[in-house]
Amino acid sequence: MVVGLRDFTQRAGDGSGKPILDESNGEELMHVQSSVAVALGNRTVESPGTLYITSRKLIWLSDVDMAKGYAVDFLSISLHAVSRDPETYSSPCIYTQIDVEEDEDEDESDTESTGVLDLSKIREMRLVPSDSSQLDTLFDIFCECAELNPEPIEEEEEESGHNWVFSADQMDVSGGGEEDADWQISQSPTSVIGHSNGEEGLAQPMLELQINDQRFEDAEEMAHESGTKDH
Amino acid sequence: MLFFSYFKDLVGQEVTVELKNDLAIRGTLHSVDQYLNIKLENTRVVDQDKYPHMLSVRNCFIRGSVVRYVQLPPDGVDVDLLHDAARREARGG
Amino acid sequence: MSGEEDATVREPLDLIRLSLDERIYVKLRSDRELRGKLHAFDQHLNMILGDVEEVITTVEIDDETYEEIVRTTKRNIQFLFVRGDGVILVSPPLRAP
Repeated sequence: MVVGLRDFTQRAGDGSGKPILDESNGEELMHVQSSVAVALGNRTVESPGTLYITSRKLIWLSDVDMAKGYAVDFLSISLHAVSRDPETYSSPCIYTQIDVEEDEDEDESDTESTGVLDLSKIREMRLVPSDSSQLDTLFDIFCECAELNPEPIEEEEEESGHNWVFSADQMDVSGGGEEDADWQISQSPTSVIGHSNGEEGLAQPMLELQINDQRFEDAEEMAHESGTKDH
Repeated sequence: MLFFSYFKDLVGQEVTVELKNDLAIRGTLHSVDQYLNIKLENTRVVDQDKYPHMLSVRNCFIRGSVVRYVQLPPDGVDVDLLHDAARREARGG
Repeated sequence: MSGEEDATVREPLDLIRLSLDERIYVKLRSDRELRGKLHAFDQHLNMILGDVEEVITTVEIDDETYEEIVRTTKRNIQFLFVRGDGVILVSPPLRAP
């Protein structure tokens, strides 16, 4: 996928000047807005053109210069907004922010000074329709198309069947057999409690278990319960 | 789907969306979709020095994948509900 | 301790499930770290954290001495949704052995 803004010059040769879409891959024309000026970054507004909104991207084609046009995928448009405040921008417009490849910061000023415009570094684009009553409609169409273009799904392994490496911590938990054995030991001598006065030898290990293992507290309660039932 | 549902319930409340490009936009949550794309209304940019021209866009669509954080309103967070939802989600997934 | 909690750990996400309502450590892209109480998460590691402290670490090179100057910026946020695609590492709370 091409990130950011790019030149677009593929116009149909039938004189209509319409852009050639990738129809075989399902790209559809969603909306055409004539008489739209475009401003890239901080640059001045460029002569009016026509905005084509497809299911994949925005295409702006100059009405004057047939060799001039820009395109940007909806996947690269970070946000879009309706801007009507004259203090922030002279004309009501659709404001867009464009995702660019990283490591651009330092070069940006250079591009400006040499006068060579590197489209892939343009982070902002304004679309100024001559009919500003169309702004809300355009905003909604932008939203709709953005939603048609979710992030490509990463090639993730299926949820199940991960061969996770188990830590020692986890081994303890999964090694339940040992734990069960503890329970066996702690529960089996419960009947002994009643006799413990006479048989210190058996009661003694239980006492140690109680000290070493908090889980035994529960077992002790159970022991008392079962003990009561026994009697 | 947990967070899609969560944000749907949050519609109408004030949130601050922080983007991966460090832009922070505060506004009323208007809607959210399954990709966690976010629409805000009555927005204003928090760091106005950095993006002065974005001062007051009325409504704004933010692509889910460019979001880093969303600061949530304290009364928009029911932690018990969230814990239950997260456990359910974990079981289902 | 909630009685129904399934304590078996079959995969890393289970560790995170067991960290619900506990303070965790999250490392994010662009040198950000979060410490906060985990209130919700999903399989993408999207999360909602509470009482969050964010630390941003920046390293600048001094123009004259070429020494690295490490700066950290801290801020606190009451409730924060964190998008999972920026998450590098999640560490559950340290438990006493």
